[in-house]
Amino acid sequence: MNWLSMVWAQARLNQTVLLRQRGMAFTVLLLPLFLAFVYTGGPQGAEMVNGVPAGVFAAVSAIAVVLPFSYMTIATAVVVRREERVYKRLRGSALPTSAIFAGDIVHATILGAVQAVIILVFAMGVAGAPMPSNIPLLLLAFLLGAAVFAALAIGTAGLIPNYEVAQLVALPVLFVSMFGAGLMFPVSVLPEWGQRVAEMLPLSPIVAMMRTAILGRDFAADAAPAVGFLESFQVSAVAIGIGLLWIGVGLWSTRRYFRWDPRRA
Amino acid sequence: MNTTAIEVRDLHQKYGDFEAVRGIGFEVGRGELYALLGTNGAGKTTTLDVLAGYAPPTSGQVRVLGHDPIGERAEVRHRMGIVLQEAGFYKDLTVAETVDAWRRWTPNALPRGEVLERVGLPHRAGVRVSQLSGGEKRRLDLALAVLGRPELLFLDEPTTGLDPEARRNVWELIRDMVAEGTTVLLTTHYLDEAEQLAQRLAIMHGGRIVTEGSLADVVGGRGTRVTFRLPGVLPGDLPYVPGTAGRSVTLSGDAYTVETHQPQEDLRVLLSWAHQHGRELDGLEVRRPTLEEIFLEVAAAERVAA
Repeated sequence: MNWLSMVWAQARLNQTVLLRQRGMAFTVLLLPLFLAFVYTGGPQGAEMVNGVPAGVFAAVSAIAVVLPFSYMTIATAVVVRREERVYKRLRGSALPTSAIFAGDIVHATILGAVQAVIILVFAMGVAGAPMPSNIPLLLLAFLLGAAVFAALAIGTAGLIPNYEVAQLVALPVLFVSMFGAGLMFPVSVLPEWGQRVAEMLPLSPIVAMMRTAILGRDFAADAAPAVGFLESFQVSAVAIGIGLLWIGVGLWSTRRYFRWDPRRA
Repeated sequence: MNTTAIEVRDLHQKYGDFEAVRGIGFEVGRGELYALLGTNGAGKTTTLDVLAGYAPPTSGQVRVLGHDPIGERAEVRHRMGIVLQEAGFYKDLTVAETVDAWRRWTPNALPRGEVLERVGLPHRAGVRVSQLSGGEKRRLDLALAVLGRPELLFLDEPTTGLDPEARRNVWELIRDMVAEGTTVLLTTHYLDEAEQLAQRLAIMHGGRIVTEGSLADVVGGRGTRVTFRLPGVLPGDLPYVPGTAGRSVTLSGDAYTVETHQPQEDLRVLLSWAHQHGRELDGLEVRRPTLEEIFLEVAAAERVAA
């Protein structure tokens, strides 16, 4: 019985358990798709942003919406399992501790990946987005984003006392992420300092990388010049740095606050 | 092969300022059933948490199947089964789904049908865990703990809250496991449970082991209690010679307790005295000391010593 098969068993179990909780399943499985479609279907879609139709621009960014939902999936699962002492039972079984964590993360990441592909296909088929120009960068962006939000979910779970609060915390995480990534309105309407802050929020670097990876342009530079394959990695360096920083914050917070036993104990 | 399954040496366990375990030591041999008895707060569960690898000891040493249960967890986690006093299930899964999920990561797991048979749950396989009764949940606890054919089983108050029939079923299962060679460490606050199952036991009180040994050592060394009520009778009127070794008479209100090492002889004397004097021994009872009485005695003896 190797580690990977144990992780896979955990991920599978997470999915079974999720499907039994209808409300949570609806939120986690369908809401990100719904949001993505809403944000890309508006009448402003024909306007141009840096030479790209606004609808396409938004559709591409909407892929990243799945990541704050991964945060919600993981943080809620961790809190509920801790408070109901399911973790205590799991840790007493033949499962290595690392496989318990990994199973939770793999499950949320696979869900997010499936949703991201659906939104990408929608963006290409309906909103008229081009074929991604740099697929490795797109994958890197997704995995980096998944790691950022998984680390933040596990890192903040220790501070969340119960299921209800987990749901409450997930909403501002979602809204702040979407706001910072310019999914609600263009960040350019903000004052200079507001734009700098928005760039540093956890989802922003991921969205920037995804835009570059799909549309082949550097939107951080004036007039968004087209970039080549290697160049698109180069212009994403800052974004990668910001993502790693957030992973660091999540890991630090995990070390500091994570607990296996219920807070009410 | 090492014949010691569990080794505990000078274990201390602190939570903040509170020292839950204050320097205990004991050994459990392979294939043995060892019981830790104590009231709530005695330190039993804390001890078990350390042995099962949930918490590192504040100080002292523990070895489980020859290994450090935290540092060398990979060596032991698939060789032990744990029934916690309180642990959650995925409430929305059925019994069968729960066992199947656990089987996926348990090496050498028993087939689902066999393990449910063992704990007497086959007829509940399709039922959601949230709909099980307390006794049924306990049996599912046990099913998951024995699923991987463990060499060592930790049972933290496995029958607390069960009805008498469910208790007997659990005892039966534990006896079967021991008969197959499984080592069992059991915590309980029922003396009769320890009497039914344990070969050796330790009584914990206030974070210490106050007495340890075979059942006969621990309980047998203490007198049998004869209790009755005799309103208006003074201790001097009883047919017992004052100051006799092996017997003590205490009066509380009009209730007498005679603690004796010769229960048969003393009872005969008492009954014939009552018969001659035409007295009725109200609420007459003859019994072994309860766990609580042993605690109180031991605690009192400790106070005297201190």
